[in-house]
Amino acid sequence: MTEILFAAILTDNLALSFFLGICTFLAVSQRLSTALGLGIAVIVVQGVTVPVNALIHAVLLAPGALHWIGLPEIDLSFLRIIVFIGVIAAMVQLMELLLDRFVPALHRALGVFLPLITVNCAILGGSLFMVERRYDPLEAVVWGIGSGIGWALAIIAFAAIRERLRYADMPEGLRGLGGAFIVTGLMSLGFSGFGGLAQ
Amino acid sequence: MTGVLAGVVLLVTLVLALSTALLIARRRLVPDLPVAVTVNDRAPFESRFGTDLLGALAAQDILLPAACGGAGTCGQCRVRVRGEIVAPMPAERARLSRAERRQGMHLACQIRLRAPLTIELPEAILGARGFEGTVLRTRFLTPLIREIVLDAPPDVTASVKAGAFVSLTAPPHDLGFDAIEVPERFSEDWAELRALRAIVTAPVTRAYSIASTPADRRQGQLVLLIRLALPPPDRPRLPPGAVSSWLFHVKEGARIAASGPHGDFRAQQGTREMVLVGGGVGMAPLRAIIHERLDQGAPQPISFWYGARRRDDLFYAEEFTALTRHHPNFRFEVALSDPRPDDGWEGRTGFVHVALREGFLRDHPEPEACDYYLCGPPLMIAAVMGVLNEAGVPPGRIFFDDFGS
Repeated sequence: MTEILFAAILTDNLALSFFLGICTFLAVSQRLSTALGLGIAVIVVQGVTVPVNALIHAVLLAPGALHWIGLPEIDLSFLRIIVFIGVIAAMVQLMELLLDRFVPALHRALGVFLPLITVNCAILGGSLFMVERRYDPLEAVVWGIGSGIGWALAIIAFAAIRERLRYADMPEGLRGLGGAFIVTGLMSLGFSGFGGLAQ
Repeated sequence: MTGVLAGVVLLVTLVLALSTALLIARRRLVPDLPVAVTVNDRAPFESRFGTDLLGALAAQDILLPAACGGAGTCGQCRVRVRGEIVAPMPAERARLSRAERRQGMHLACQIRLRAPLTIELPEAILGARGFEGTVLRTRFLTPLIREIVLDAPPDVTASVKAGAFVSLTAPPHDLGFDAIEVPERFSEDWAELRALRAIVTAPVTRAYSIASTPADRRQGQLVLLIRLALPPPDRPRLPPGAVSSWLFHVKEGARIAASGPHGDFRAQQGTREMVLVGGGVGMAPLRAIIHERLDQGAPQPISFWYGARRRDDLFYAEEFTALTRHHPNFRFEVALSDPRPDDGWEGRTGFVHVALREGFLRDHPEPEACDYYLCGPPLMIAAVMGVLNEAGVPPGRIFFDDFGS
């Protein structure tokens, strides 16, 4: 269990090892407070969708999963992308309702990037990795929350660095996105160092 | 076959289940409930959960100025919320100072009604109301400034204080600039503008200062100065100003939806010397203030410094020159920054802030004891603030009405 949590947060970090969800990662990392809000939103969405998807996969989609209604030969696992996306979309909409109701300032700050979590590849990637690696439902919970924390950690650290970087005397052409890409690369290099710890 | 059937059944059930869950969540989170809103100490009125405060107030005929139409960019629809301080929205953080936010100031367009709310508004705003004005006459004052005289309801004109503004709403329109009637003497300036086109698909509202003299107001007339907002020279592809383009097309007898009067740009009472500095359509509130103060028989010296580019951009000059003859305490100074050789201009040249420094501040024994009223383009205001600061005028003595152009 701890290995999965460790891998989810550090060595297999979705943002910095797999470069998933990079569009949002780059776009919503201008301010630390907004990045923190988005990070928490991703942890929640990921922490709910991965276990729910794991359950749906185990009970309905996996080969032989339907034996409980007497259809053991049916394999619906080809439906997993559309099903997973559906669950994610519903979760994000729920998240939007919740934020609009209770944290309206964050809802406004995230703007269009909140609904865009629906098609954030980090979120779908989390669910697909879960299937690929054959996690059982309990492991899926750990992986879901862990990978959410990992992505949040990456964007929060990145936003903090970018806030600092605004005062740095960078060459004209590197200001803004250019510098952001370099920082992402360096952070990714740093995170790959955790690979050695895992051995 | 069973596989396909199972897949279809599964997908349909899943989508139905998810939608039902969302519908239930929505019902609980965004209930259709009444919410009570109290303005100052009046009786509360009811609005619906989730509507924005600006719209809720408008439904009660409490019209806050909102030049941006509720987008959170103009920062005019300020209200003070009584009770606990709510976290400000990003737009509020950009438009309100830290001190204002600490006092509970908010932008009405950014507040969604979720719980009973008590707000404070200046009583003057509660006097503003929506009305329809009829265009009595129009004329071109300069190539890009048009004077429109509106016939407004008497109670509106009676409540206008010099320095106030009204909001005018333009309906959706699609107008070519080739249809605008321009006097012969300005046709040269207009040659290049004829190709422009203003296309607007939803009603748009903009604020215009009232230039009426007390005599105009007694006749129920609102004098407005409209400057045609053109795309900036470096971005010629942007559309021209939505409302100003429309106001350049309106003809006599047209009816214009308006609300007001709004604003807190006012002449201070008392006998401090008054210095008014303006440029472009910044003329409007300053003209109203000068006429009002002179009409009230103000004894102190009043000087009006007006900056324009060339002779064609100068208007109302005869009127102010006439005022100087009737009121020995009134002085009118014009600086042209870019006079043409054929203007035959013999007065001051250069920017108005330089003229003010050379012609007034340098020789005045006590520049810090005067009240300064500025209105005009942001660059002009910034330059005048600079020379006033140099002369040691404290910021509290400077009053300005800063509008985009």
